[in-house]
Amino acid sequence: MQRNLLDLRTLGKAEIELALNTAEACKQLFDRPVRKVPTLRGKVLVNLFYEPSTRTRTSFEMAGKWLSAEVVSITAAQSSVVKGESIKDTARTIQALGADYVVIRHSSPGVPYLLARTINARIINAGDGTHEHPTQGLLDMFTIKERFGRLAGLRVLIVGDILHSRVAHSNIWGLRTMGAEVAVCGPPTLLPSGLAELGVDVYTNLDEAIQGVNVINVLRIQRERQNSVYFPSLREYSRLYGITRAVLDRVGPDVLLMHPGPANLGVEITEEAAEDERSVVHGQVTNGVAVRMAVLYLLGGGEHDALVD
Amino acid sequence: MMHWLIKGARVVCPTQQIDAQMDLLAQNGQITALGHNLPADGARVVDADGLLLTPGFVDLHTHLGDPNREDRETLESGAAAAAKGGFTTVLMMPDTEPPLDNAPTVAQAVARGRQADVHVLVAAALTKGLAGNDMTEFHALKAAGAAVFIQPDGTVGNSGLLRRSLQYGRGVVPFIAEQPRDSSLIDDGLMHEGDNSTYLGIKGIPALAEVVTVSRDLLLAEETGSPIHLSLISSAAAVKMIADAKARGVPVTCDVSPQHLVYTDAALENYDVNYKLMPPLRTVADREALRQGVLDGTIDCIVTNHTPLTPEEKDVEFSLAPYGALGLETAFALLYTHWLHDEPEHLATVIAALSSRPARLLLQPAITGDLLPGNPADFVLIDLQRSKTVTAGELASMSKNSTELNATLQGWPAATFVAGKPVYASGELAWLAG
Amino acid sequence: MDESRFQPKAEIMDGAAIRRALVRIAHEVIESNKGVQNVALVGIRRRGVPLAQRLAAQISQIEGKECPVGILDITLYRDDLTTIAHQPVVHKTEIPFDVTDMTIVLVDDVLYTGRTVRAALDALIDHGRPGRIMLAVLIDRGHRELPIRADFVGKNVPTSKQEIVSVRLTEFDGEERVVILEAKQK
Repeated sequence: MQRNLLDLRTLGKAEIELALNTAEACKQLFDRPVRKVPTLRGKVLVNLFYEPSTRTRTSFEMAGKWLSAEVVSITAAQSSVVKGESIKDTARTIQALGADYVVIRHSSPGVPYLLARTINARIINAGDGTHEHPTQGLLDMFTIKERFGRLAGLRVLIVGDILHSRVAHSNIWGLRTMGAEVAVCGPPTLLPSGLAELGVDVYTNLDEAIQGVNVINVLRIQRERQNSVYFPSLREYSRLYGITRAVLDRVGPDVLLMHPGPANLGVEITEEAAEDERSVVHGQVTNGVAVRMAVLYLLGGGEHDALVD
Repeated sequence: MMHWLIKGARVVCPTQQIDAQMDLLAQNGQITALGHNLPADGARVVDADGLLLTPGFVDLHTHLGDPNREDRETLESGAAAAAKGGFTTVLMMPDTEPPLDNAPTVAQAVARGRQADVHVLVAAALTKGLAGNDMTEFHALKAAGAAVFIQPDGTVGNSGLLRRSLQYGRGVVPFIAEQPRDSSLIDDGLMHEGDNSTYLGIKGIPALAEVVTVSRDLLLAEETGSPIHLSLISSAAAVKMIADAKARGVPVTCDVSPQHLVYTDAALENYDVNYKLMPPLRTVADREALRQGVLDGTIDCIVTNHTPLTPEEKDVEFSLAPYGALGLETAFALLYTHWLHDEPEHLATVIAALSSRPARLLLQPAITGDLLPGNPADFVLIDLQRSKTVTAGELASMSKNSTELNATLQGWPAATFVAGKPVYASGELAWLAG
Repeated sequence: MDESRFQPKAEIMDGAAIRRALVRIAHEVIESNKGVQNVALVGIRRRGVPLAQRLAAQISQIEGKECPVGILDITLYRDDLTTIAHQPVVHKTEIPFDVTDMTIVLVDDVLYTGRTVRAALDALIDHGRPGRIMLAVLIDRGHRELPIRADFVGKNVPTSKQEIVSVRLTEFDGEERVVILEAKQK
C-alpha cells in the first residue's frame, strides 16, 4: 500500500480490495474478549482536526487504541483567516514530538497533500474541504460489501449536494474503481461538471434516479452552508430530494439506505426512513473503526514499501 | 561608453523580417549597424556563434514589491530577474503599497525606476486605490510619467465608470487596461471549472467569468472608440470574441502569460500553490486557442504577470494562497522548452510577441523592441542548447514562487544588453558582466 | 523471504516421512492428554493450518473422536512489521469454539526463532483463557531467540542461519516434501 492515504481517486482496485479485506479481519477482533492487538505498540497517532467532528475523530481514536498506538487528539481552533504557515508549523511540531501517523481534517482541500510534502509521518486524510474523505468512502464500500457480498455490478445512488460533498467524491471514485454503477441525484446547481464523462449517471429527478438501485447513500445538507445560493429553500429541497419510507418502498425490500451522518432528520431524510430496517444510518460505527484499523495497519508497513511509493 | 561587436549570432528581428547569421554593432548605447562581416572599429568583440540574438523583451505586466513590500521583490531584484530572463523593459504594475494612484507616487516610482539596470516604465492605477470606484487624475498621472492606466488584477466592475474612463482617457495614454473577470461568476472558485476541479474538490471558475466581461469591454471600446487592453486572456472563447472584434475594427489589444501557453489545469493535481493563477490555467483546447491567437496576432503580446510572493504568503493551504507566480526569469525558456523546441517555425512570431509587439503598444520612442540601426541597443543573446534545472537558490527574485521550480528547461538567455550595456551575462559570456 | 535467490541443498523429508511424523505426533498428543477430551488444534497460518487439519484427521482415526480445529492469523501480533520488506496480508482468524479451559495444541510447520509462536500465544490468549497450550511442529531447526520449546516435534534438523527450511505441502505447493535451501553462489 501507499505511504499516505490522501484520496480514493488515485487508489487502485487491488489496494481498495486489500483495505476492505483487512478491515474484515480487523472487524473480527471485536468479537473477542480482548479486542486490543499489539500491532502498533509504541507508535504515535495524532488526530489533527481543524474542523469539529466527533464521529470521525472518535473512530480514529478507537482504531488507534485497538491497535495499541498512543493516540493524541488535537482539535485546533480555526478561523478562515488562520494562516497556513501555522499549519505547517503545527505539523512540524507534531513530527518533532514523534508522530508516526497524522490524521488530518481541514476545511481547505489539499491540506493533507501540504502535510505530506512537509513532514515524514504517514498522513491520513480525514476529510479535506470539498475534496475527499477516503476512510468514509472505504467505510461505505465496506458496509455495502458486507451486505451484498460484492461491489461489482451493484447500482449505488448518491443523493444530495454532490458538488460540495467529500463523502460523495470518495464514494464515486471508489465505487467506480470497484466496478459498481454509480448514479447521483440532486439539484442541477449541486452537480459538478464532468461526472457523466466519468461514467456516472446524473439525475435531477429522484423518481427516475431510484430505478433499479441497490443502495441509496443520502448526503447531509449543510444547513450552515449558504444553500440558498444553490436552491431556493430547505422545504423545496426536502420535497424534491428528501428520502422517505415511501421512497424506499418504491425501490423495494432489499435496498440499503446509508447516510454518512450526522443526519438532518426531516430535511434530507425522514426519521421514519432513517429508522427503517433497510437503513444502516445508525449502524456503521464498528465498521468505521475496523476500516480505520485496516488503513493504519496497511500504511504502517515496512520501510521498503515506503520507499517504493 | 563601451562599443560592442556581436559576431556571428543568428539574428532574429521580426520587424525587419531578419533571421540570418549576422553581426551587430552597438556604439554609444545605440545599434549602429547590422550586417555581415562588420569591422570591429574599436568595439570589443563578442563571439556569438551558436547563439540567438533577438531584441530585448518587453514585459507589459510586472509586479514589484517596491515600495513597501521589499520582502517580495525590490526594484533591484526585479530588474535582475528581468535581465536574467532577457527582458530589457518592464512595465511596473501600480499595485504597490500604497498603490500608484496619484502624481507624487507615480513620479517617485518613475524616478526610482530610472535607477534600475533595465527600463522600468510605470503603469498608473486606473481607479483610486485600485478600488474600482473613482477615476484617477489621468492628466496629472500622465504628466508624472505614467505610461498607461491599468486595473492590474481585476475588472472595473462598474461598467459606467469604465465607459467614462475610456471616454475621458482617450488620447491621454496609449491604452487603458483591465483584467477581465466577473467576480460574481468566480464566486468562491479557485481554479478552472472542469473535470480537474471536480477531481480536486476545488470550486471552479468557469471560462464564462472571463468571457462575459470581455464581451462587455469590447462593446465599450467599440462604442467609445477608445483603445482598451485586456490583460491575461485565458480562454478559447475570449480569443474568438477578440478576433471577431478586431476584424470589425474595435480598438482592442490583449495579452497572455507564458504559463497559459504551456500548462493546463492538470498542473494543479497535487495542489501545488504555484500553479494557482488568476486567471486560472484552463484546458488543452484553451491553451491551443491561446497559442493560435499569438500566432495569428489576435493576442498582441506575451506578458509574464511576474508576481513575487513570499513563502509565508504563498506556501499555505491552497484556498488561502494568493494568486500568482514569478515569470520574468523563466518566460522564454518555458516557451522554448514546451512549445518552440518542437515548433521552431514559430520562433520569430513568439519573439515578436515578447518584444516588438508589446513595444509598439506603449507608443514610446525609446522602447522599440527591434534591432533597427539607430534604435537603443536593447538586445539579448540566447543559448538555445543550454539546459538548466530551475532551483529556488539560483533565482534572482527575492521570492521563489515559480511554476518552473525544479523543472529542467532548455533555451536560456546568455547575455542581456540594455542601452548598449551588458546587464546580465552567464556561461561563456560571463566575462561581459565583470 | 524471496526463495528465488536460494537453491535446494538437501531433501530432509519426503511425503511418506511427513505422514509418519504426523501419525506419531497424533499418538503423542493423545497420550500426553490421556485422550482428546477437551483438546483442540489451532493451526498457525499458513502451513500450520493443513498440518492441524491432518493431525485432527489422524486423531479422529485413532481415537474415533473429533477434535475441533481452529485457524490463527498472527499478523497483527508480529513484532517486525515496520522492518520487513513486504507487508503481510491480514487474514481472518477462525476459532469456532471457546478456548477457555481447553487444552490447545498450536500447530506450525517450522519452529525457528520462536517469535511466531510468541505472537501466536499472545493472539490465542486474547481469545480467552485456555487451560493449557502445547506446541506441535513438523520441523525444529534450532536457533531460538526466545525461551520457547515444542512439545511435539516431527523432526529435529540442525541448520545454519543462512539456510531456509521449506515445507512444501500439497495444499499450497502441489508436492509433499521438506527441503533445505541455501543461498545461490554469486
